[in-house]
Amino acid sequence: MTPVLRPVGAALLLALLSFTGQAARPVYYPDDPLAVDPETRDATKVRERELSDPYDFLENTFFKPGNRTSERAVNVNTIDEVPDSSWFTNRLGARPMSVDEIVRGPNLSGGPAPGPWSVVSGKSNGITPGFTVRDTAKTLWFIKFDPISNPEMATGAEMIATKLFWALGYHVPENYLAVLDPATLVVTDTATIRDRLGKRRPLTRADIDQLLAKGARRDDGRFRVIASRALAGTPVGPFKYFGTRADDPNDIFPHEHRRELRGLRAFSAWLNHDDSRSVNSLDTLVPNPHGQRLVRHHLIDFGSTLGSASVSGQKPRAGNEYIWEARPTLLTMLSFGFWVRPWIKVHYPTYPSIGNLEAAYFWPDRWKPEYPNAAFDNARADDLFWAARRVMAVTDEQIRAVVQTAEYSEPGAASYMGDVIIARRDKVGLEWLTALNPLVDFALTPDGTLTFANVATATRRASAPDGYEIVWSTFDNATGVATPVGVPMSTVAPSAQAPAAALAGAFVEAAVHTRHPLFKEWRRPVAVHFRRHGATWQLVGVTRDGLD
Amino acid sequence: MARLLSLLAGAWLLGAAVASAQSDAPAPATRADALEAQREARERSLGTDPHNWLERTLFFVEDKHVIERLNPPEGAYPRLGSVTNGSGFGLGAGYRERTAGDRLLLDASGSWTYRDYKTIQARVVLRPVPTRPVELSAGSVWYDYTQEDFFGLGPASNRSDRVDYRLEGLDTYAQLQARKAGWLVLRGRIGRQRTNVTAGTDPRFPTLATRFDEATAPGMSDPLTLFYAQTSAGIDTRDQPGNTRSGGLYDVTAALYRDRRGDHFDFTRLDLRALHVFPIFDKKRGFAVRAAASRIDPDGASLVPFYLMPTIGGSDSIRSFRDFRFRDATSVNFNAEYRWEAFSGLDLALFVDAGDVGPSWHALVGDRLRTAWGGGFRFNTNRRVFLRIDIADGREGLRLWVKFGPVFAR
Repeated sequence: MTPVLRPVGAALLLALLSFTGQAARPVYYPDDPLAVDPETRDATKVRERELSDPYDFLENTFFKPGNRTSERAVNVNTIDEVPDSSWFTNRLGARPMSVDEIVRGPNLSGGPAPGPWSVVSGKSNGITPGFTVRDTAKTLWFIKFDPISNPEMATGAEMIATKLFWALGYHVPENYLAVLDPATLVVTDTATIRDRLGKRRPLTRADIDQLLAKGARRDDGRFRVIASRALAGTPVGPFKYFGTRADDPNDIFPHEHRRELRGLRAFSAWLNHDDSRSVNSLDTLVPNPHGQRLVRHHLIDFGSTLGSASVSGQKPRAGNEYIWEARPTLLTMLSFGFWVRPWIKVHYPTYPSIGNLEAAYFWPDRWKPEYPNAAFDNARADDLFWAARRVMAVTDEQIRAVVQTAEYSEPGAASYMGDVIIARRDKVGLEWLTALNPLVDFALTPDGTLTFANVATATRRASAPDGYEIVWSTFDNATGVATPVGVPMSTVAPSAQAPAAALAGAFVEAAVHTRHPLFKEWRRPVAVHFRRHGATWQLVGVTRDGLD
Repeated sequence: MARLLSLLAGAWLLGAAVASAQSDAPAPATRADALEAQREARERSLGTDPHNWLERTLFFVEDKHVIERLNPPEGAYPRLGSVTNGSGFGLGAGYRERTAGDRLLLDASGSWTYRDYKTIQARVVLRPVPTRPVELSAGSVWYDYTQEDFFGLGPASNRSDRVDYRLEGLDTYAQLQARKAGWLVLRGRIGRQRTNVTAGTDPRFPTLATRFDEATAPGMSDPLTLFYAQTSAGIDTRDQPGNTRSGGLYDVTAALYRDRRGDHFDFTRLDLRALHVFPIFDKKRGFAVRAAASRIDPDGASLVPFYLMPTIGGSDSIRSFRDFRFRDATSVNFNAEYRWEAFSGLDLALFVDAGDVGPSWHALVGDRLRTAWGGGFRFNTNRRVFLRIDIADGREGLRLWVKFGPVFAR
């Protein structure tokens, strides 16, 4: 297809693929682009569902669940953005955010109320100790500890990751750093604990002591803990990264084709959230504005992020290889172990409070979670570009301020953590902001001046391009056909004046190619559509050609 | 242009199909209406997420705590696996109870293998201070090993001399064990061991008495009752005993046996064992070396029951030979394994084994050193090897071992 015709094809594909079944209808509706996904159906009938953790591993490792066709994310609006929804709220990158707002993150309640905590239940199975407590205001909190070997590590990682994932747009719990004095714990008469065989029995002081023995104790005998506020609403189980929830009427987009779940791959790579799997998610039933109920989808449990694996430092494999992967397994087997996985030789500075985290060997596109994830596998260049823009929107100052909330006492730890997160951020930008034509922020002034920005250049991930080539067209919203006007125009600056003929109709299309000596992919145009809105032009469509 | 036309045609066809399918429904006026229509349609076909048979099975295993029930801290539990080398796979059950604030453990169990080996044991373990690694235990083990192999004493024993015998016994003991500083292990044990050798039940081989007598297989004729006192000291620096990737285990055990009837079977026994695993590259590869030596010294003219003599051959020894292939008053055994991780659930191994038996230290490790080489698979969790498959070759041919546990555990 010639460059001139590409926008036409792109527009047609947009018409065909955006929100299935719209081909016989206009390309753009009056309410496009949607800022909020109108999830209006009542989800009261949604019931709690369980997920088998081992099954999730087996299914995702050996069976490739979900739809794996390479297609554009199905829940994006016509300007290639994710509308706010029960899954996601546009924050960083969509609007200015102050350092204070990011540092505060999801924490609105102020943390556990002063006074003793009443233990409601204990967690005896597994290797991570934990309690559920009620504070004096009767609020329920989950209490999580650091491992003895790595004081401040899991709690620090949880603090940082919680705030950054919130800023990126996800629904997360309120997590607070707190100090637990065992002497102030009150064991209520109704407190219970499950033994190893799952039998519930009354919780005793001895159980508390046994659980506390697994946590890192401070010199003053108290414990640094994460107090995680119970999520609002009724828990109904985790979400999967593929398919839809069969009992939720609002869940119409297959999860493996949701932009925010595909893009989570980039965020997880950045923050080494290798445990980004279903077990670390939770759906809750919450009231919607219409007095009905809505399923809200959360990411939870960030103890295994950054350099922490919750109970120890991250294993070197984490982020570098799936738990089971055929190629390295065979290579290792057949070479009698003489083929050495490259990540084994990676050096990690010794910061017990950080665990194992580095930025020198890390490369975003190589990063992997614990086992395959359908949404991550489906992530395309446009999904990762969308995510990388948000990652690059976090400033050094914001990162260092968030790291401060981990309150590391180990000398040098906070500085190192900040350096690594910044370095990994920059690599995410370098990898995924440059993988396609990185033009954003399109606007058309009333007099027909097109302006845009090159985000790869603006974030210093790439040098300035040689220039831009713009093809103007009129656009028929009913048929989706673009008709070129005049000849392609060239410009060095990211702006151009539309020919008068192109502005004659209700819609105008501009297809912008970028010329850069290093990035040939940038030749593929970004096609944008503007709709006349009184005297002004409204951006209604953004399509990145060559991907659909 | 041809591609554009085909695209247009495709769009028209798809549009026509969709339009036809939706001809009854009014076209939505807004994007929100279009999404609402999709959700309305979905609402009419809501269901529940089905679980397939594998997921249901795994739910059952998790919900019923099947794994934990295999080795629960208290209550009834199953006994799975062999009861001794060569016994074959067995099933059994046990019951344990903890009382006195976790200071006292009562434990009883029995097992029966497909080769008709049987064992029943009962023990009491007292930990005066539950948080401290000092324990006093007492117990009794009855066993009936129906198809034990014997090839004759000495390094020159012949494979074709294989005979079959049955060993029945009752071992009653008291033991004190303490661990100091996490790595020093001290143990003292006294006990009474009653044994009786009779004809074996394996029809494929002649019984002991057809080829051997009291001179060539001491202790085969009459039941024996021996009192013994045993003491051992060891250094244990293994990171994980069930799946050692670094560290070592060194121990020495000395035992004194006295024949209840007189001095016919009075002897001492000394066992030395050294095992070390040297990790290479973050414990993903490792080199394990093991050396073991045993010696029995009869007092004066006393004898040593043949079935208590040091032995080599078997899945933890020289792996191309059968269990108990060689017996004599002294034995040495060397093993070297190179292990490497294929992935986090499987290690592979290449190994060489060597060893010998003889009447004295001086007679060991001559030209006749028995050797084996081979490879194996070790399926594991981080903490424990739960299935080991070794294939070994040597002078007596190939041998396959399938074991539910790590190597060099016994």
